[in-house]
Amino acid sequence: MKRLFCLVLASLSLLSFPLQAAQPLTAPERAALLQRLQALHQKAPCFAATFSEQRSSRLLKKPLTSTGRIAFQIPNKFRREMSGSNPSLTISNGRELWIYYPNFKEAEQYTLGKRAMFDDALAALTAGLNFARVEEFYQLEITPEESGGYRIVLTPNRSNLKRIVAQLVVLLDKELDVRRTDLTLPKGDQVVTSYSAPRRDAIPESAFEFVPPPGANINHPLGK
Amino acid sequence: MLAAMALFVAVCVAIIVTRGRVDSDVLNLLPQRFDSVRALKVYDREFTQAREITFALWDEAHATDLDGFAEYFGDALRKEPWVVRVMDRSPMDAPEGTRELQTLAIPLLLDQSAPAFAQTLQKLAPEAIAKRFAMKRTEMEAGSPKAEMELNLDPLGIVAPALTPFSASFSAENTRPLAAADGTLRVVIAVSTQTSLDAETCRATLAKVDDFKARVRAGWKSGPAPEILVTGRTAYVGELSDGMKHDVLATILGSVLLVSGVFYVGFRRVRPLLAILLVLLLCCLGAVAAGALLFSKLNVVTMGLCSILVGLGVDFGMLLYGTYQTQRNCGLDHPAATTASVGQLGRGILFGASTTAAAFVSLLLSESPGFAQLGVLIGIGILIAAALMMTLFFVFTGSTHKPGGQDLIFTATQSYLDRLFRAPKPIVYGALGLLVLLTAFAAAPVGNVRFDVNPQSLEPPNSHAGFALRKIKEKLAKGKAEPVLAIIQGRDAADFHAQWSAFQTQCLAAKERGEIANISTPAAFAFSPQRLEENLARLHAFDAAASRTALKEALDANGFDAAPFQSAFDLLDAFANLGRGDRAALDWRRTLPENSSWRFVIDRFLSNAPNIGAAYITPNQTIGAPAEQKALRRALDTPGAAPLFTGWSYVMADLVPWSQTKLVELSIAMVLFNIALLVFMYRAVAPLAVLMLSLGLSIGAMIAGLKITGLPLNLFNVLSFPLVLGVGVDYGIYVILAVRQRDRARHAMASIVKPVMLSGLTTIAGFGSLGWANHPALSSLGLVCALGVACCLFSTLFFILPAYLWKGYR
Repeated sequence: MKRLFCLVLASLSLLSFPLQAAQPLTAPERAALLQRLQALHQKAPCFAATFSEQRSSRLLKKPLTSTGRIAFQIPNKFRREMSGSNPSLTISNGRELWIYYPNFKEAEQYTLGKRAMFDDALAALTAGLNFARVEEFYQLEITPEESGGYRIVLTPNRSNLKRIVAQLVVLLDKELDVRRTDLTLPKGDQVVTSYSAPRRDAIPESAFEFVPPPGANINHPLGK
Repeated sequence: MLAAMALFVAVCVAIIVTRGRVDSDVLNLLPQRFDSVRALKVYDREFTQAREITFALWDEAHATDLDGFAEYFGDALRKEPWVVRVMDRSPMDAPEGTRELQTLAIPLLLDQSAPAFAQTLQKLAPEAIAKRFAMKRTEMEAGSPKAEMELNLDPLGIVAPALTPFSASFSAENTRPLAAADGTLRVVIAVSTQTSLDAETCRATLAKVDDFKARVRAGWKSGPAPEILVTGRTAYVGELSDGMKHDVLATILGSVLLVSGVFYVGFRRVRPLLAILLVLLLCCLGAVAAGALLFSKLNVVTMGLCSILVGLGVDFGMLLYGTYQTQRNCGLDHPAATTASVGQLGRGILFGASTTAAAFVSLLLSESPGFAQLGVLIGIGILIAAALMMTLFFVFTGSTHKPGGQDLIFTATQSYLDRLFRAPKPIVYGALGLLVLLTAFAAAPVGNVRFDVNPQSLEPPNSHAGFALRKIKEKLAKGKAEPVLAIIQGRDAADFHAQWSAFQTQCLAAKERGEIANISTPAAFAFSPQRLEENLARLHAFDAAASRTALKEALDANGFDAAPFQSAFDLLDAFANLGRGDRAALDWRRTLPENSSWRFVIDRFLSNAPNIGAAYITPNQTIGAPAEQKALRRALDTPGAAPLFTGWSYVMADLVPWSQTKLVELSIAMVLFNIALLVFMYRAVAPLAVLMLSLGLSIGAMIAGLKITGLPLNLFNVLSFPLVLGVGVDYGIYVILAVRQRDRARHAMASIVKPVMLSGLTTIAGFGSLGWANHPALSSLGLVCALGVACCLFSTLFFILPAYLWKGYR
């Protein structure tokens, strides 16, 4: 479940930090920026990019690497296509989340809103990352970089979130598009994702809906 | 005489010191013939859960990070030397929770059916292990969270299927929620090192808890600390036993002061007062020593013994002294006055002591061990008091007589008597009218006597433990019915398994039919010895070493680090040991660490003694009546299983009809006893009828008083009715004795009415002083008795006395 949550977290973080401020942020500056960000999200609620991910797990001796495409729509819809020899497709429409493995013809279905721990954390995350209450859930540390971008460190300040994520670092380029996310989990696992070719075109709603192919075996790892 | 007294005191003190033990268990007040009460005692005695200390961290204002505080609190609590284990989160989230789950799964694996266990062994075959880890590696590469979850929780893929019956039986999340949905309360549960639930140990543990609370609050630097509430058996017993000291002191001091005050106001003499107190002290010592000899432990309600004895026993002294004083005022010397007063009142005192003692001894029929004790001891005490007051008392009063100055009470009494002798009729009618009016009000459907059926009525007012428990219920189980426990005791493991299997099937069917809301049973933990033996036999042929090698090679081949999979190696090692005949892995109590959170789950369902388990049934509504009990029992009636149902609401549904029946039974017994005794004494129907009418109207007035004051009846103070009948009749006895002084009736009246009034007041004071007790059984009993005695005193002075004079009864 934590792995699933991190996948969502890393994905949503892309939407969260197209920051446009260039100066070290004081509290009033941050508040002003949050308002601008909300306006920006209203204007361009979609985002798409290609990604390359390196995942270190305490279970594995060496990290796993993967590539693919990712697409989002505020506040909670996303699509993640992993390519390579073991591809997968992750789609969420905000109500349920599917992961489909074409090689195994197997799909996992997660219904959101039924697991208190997961949903509370997700609610905290989405509420926080909608920028209205982000500092209620996270301590933010924003450091300007020489390249003109920013390094934003989010540390959860609520213990239920701390059990799921230890730290999320988001690196923005000078255009304030997300360049990299670096997610650290409580047991030390780490997911580093680099993004390229960002686009803010509209994405059709159908991209966030999933219908299992005929013959696919459907699992419900957290129950129906 | 003094030497004999000193010897008596020494013997009594020796008995009390060497044999006196106090029992603070409220369960011992309840009648033991009910299955529900016996089952509750079994639960209390055998289940560790009954010994858990439950902390509620409460932050209604959301002023702090409650989750953060709970984590900090739990971590600090774990470090306390008096704490064995702590549960502040789901066992799955505990640091070693996942690893310990493998330990927990081993007996469950061995309890699988033959086909399921065969599948388990197939999954442990070397080629199956190699295939599984290759697959999981591929799934992880594809980004599967499920694969990672499985590898974390159940690397070999055999634990999850074995846990299926475990989750079907109960889930820790559902049965023991640790956080309120509104985020204002977190629960942390701890098991302490205390092995006994006696008052001393509980008080000592509570002192450590209080110290810890202060330290942990002071150490929290991230905002205001939430309120820390504490409940559980330890907290209740500690609180009650602390209250017992207060109760003993407050009630004895209260009654002695009140009684002394009344005596002094009435007689303005110190030496006779001291003489009475000395005799009462001897009575109390004698009664307590008798209690220590007769009973292994003195129950909590016997703390009221001394106050009640003081209030009742002083009556005899006061009556005798009042008469004695009148005789001295008439010129008799000390021996003559003593003889005269004992002669005049001796018979009455013996009858009075007998009726009062009988009233209290009738509590033996109550089936409540606590009240039976109290009744027997007061019965003994009253008889001792009557005997000593007629003998020893006048030794201590001394022979000097000082004619008193102006005695306002005596003057008022005389004035009242003058009026009575002149025109008793209006007073009879007035008093009768008032008493009938009150009785009519008692019987009328206007207002009602509150009968408190809430278990809360058994706990002290302002109980911290009670408040904590109710707050937890309010926050975590709002709207849910009170659970009912079903306790099954098996003859042996096979019987235990058979009973739980059958009972669980029946419970699930009842749930399906909508007859109960929910059920959590230990059926998954009630293993079949036959299945265990069969599966152990299959393990003899299992090559654990080959599986171990295959696991190591599979991990290497697929790039997994071996360390996180140690639990899988441990599981294979356990299978190897079981195959060799070492059965240690089947006993959780040996394999699970003492601080494991999983023990909380097990302790909730299984007792420390073998083959006793408890299920938790959530009925559709809280059981409140015998009919609902019956419906539940019918719904869960299981051939081949003999569960005992209990739980506080369930017990109350048994006890309320019991107490109401006892009220009627004991009252009838008391009335019959009074009639039998008084027929012998009165030898006339009319005065006896007046006395009985007066008693009946007094009870009516008492009920009206309960309606007016709102004083509730509860399980225990209903027993006050027979006591009031037994005590209240005494005043009528003294009055008839005075009336019978043929030629000296007026003189005898003068010497008796004042002491009767004063002794009534002291009895009210004695019972009333119990109102200061923390223990609800004691305080409510005292207050209701005081009200009843007040009604009896009123009807004696204003109805019986004038009626006798009016009609000239002898």
